[in-house]
Amino acid sequence: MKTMISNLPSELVEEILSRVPVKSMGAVRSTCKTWNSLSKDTSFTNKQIGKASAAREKEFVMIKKYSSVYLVSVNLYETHNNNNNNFDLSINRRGQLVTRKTSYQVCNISQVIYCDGLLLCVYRQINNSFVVWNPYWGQRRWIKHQKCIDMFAFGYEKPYRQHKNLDIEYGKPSVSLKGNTYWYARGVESRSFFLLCFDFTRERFGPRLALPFDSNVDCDLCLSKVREERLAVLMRRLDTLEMEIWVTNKIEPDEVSWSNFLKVDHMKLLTCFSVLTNFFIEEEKKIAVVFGEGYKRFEACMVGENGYFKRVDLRESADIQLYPFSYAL
Amino acid sequence: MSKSEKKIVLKSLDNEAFEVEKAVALQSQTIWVMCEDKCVGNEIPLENVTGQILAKVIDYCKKHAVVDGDGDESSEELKNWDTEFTKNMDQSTLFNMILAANYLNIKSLLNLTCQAVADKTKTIDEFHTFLNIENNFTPEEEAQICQENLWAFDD
Repeated sequence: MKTMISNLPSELVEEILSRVPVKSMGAVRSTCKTWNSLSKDTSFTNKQIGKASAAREKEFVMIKKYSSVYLVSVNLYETHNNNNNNFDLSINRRGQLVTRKTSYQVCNISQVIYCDGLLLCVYRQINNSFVVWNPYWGQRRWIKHQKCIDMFAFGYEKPYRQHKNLDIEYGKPSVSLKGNTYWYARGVESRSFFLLCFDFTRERFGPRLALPFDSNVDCDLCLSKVREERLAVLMRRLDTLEMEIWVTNKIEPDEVSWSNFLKVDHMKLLTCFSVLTNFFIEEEKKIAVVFGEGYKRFEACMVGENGYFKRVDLRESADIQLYPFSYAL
Repeated sequence: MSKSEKKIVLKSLDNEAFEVEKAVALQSQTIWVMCEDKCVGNEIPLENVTGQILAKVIDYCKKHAVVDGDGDESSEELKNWDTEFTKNMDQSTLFNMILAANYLNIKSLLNLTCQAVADKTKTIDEFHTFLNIENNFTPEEEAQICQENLWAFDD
């Protein structure tokens, strides 16, 4: 007799469905009533997000200027070469954001912010209107705003997880962590960089949080996340050609402590990119993958211990942006 | 320990006997508990698993036991082996493997087989046909679901 999914106890059906990639969740919801209500259960969605963020493949939302929004997966894998550990990177398109109703708006998204399973999508040219989309449950909510905004943050109020968004007047790309949003900023007089957190629960900015290096120099910075727990910062010094990556031991809106993850002192990374856009780290492999704009192209490089460096040409135009998705960068 | 004590016999639902190294079998938490309790002899009856499925489970455990032992193979090679292992299994075998991995409590095998089913099913039609699930929505509900799913990442 053939065994079917209906022969499985419900906890095993959940085990299977929580592994279905987010792009197929529409299909799961449309299959039958039981699955539709299961897929909208918060604990099920949390399980799904947990699985996705622990997966080997990291997911990003990739926006190509003037064309489309894609879900892409980035896979860092080891290759063996003369007994030396070597790494390779592949980037694959998992799907394109489409709408089943004729609409130009989907491809006009200029920025997305991910926070705990929700995506805040910001439109090009329509600065006072944006949409919050839950790709796990399918729901969308439009938000209209009185004035034009160009920087957004997205977080939630604890303990209710009531998502809020916030318009701010300055900043660099931000990172959402545990419902709050972090930026780096530079003092006008001191010229040193520091971190700032917007605490969505108390609806206010926290104090300046110190970075673990002397940033009163010619340098550029990039923020990232390690799972949904810790913040990582990359600093590229433009004078001494050094690069440092630090990871937080503790991060709260008003408190931070750091440990060093990687320090490299070769100039390759410096010459590789004109602009750093993103990075993520693989803790076990002691590898950082850095994305940025290279010469006419969007490129990545892998940097590790003992001078390990490898450049990857992703064969994409320079006109793209990567935003972390379920792998919460 | 004598050589015979290192081996263990697993007996399937349909009375098929498999002699395996203890280290291989002990990847199953269920078998591990049975051995700890000493409530069984050298032969362990597994009443929920057929011989055909048990043979596959043992293949998996052998592969993973060797690798854990001497670290000869990289995690990359092991991953490729895992992919090949589930690649040609039909749905029915996969579901039986999931049930067996759950009963025997082998977490990595449960992960692997559940992931394999999830990876093989992508569209609504596939969910209906391969998984044999009936569409029980009313037309109104279907229209609402359709409206909710207007946005999607699509191929």
